[in-house]
Amino acid sequence: MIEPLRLAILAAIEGRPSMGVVILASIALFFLVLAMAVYLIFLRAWHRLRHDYRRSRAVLYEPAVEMVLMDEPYEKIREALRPRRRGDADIVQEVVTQAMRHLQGPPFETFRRVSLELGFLRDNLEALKSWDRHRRGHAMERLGFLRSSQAVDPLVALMDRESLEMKLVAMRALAAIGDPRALPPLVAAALQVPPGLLPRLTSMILEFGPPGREAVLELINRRPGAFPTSATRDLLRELAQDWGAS
Amino acid sequence: MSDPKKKVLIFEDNSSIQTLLKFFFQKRGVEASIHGDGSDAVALALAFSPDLIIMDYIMPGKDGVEAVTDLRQAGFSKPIVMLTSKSFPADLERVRAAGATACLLKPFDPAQLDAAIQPYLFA
Repeated sequence: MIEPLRLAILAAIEGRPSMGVVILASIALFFLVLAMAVYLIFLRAWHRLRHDYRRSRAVLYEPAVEMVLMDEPYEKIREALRPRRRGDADIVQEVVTQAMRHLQGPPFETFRRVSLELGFLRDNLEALKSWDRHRRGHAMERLGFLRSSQAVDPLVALMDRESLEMKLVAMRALAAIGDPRALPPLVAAALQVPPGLLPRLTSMILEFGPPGREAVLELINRRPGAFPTSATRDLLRELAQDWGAS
Repeated sequence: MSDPKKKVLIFEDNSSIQTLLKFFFQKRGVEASIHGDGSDAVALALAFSPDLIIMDYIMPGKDGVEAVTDLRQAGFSKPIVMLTSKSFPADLERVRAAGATACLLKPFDPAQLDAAIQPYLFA
């Protein structure tokens, strides 16, 4: 079996394959393409089915968003968001996250409280260990919204292993949590990111309040070349205003 | 006789924010007409005669600042509140120069939006 195959390969390399080899190779190629097409069709169908299923489940929980904006009683909102079926927790979190991305103030706090009471903090800490980067990314964002100090150490630990894109998601989450323990690793990471990302990072660090201002000044001093003059001027003006206000 | 229902025209391309704004105005008894693109802002404003316009900054087609400029040039004099995630002074200056009445940053606090619209809808 091996010998004829070796001879066929040698013949192909030398540019004189037999007709049998050509036919066999063509058939193999045809089946390979067919298998890939079938795989893609199934994959697409699976994604569509999954999307439709999640959409149909999300519709059950979306009225809770209306309840929050209509100032309905908290107990009613929590019941409306309680997962009704195994696997719904992630769908509920998606509904809640969508709303939290665009809101501040009491509605944001209501969603946060419900999420904590329904155990989403634990779910998301667990999801940080997932092999799926999208799942990890969603978990990081949600942990930022939940603002729990319990998430600081796992997020900092992840920053060392993740790609730059994911690292930024983790940084955003840490800034949202606002625990000063996250500042040294954030500054350390900011010393290494491309200069174009620094204004965004500096804004995140400024969200930490007074310790954040100190960290930004340290950053400007340690990477002066990375801050364009106008950006530095704007930042210093912002810092001066913050200092004046506090 | 009671006051006629107040009307708000909303230009916002994000469906989640559209939903949030719909509920927000529904709670206040305001009729809201929501659109995802500012290209037809002038025609829609003429047809709907809103008491107030909520305008997103970044939209497909025509952005919020261009749409506000068009509306002001067409003689629309009612208040326009801009919703934006851009907080740089140059962007805010662009919003003001275009003729927006007020500017609110995203993510928004419904209480702040309430304070911004109260003088124009319920004074």
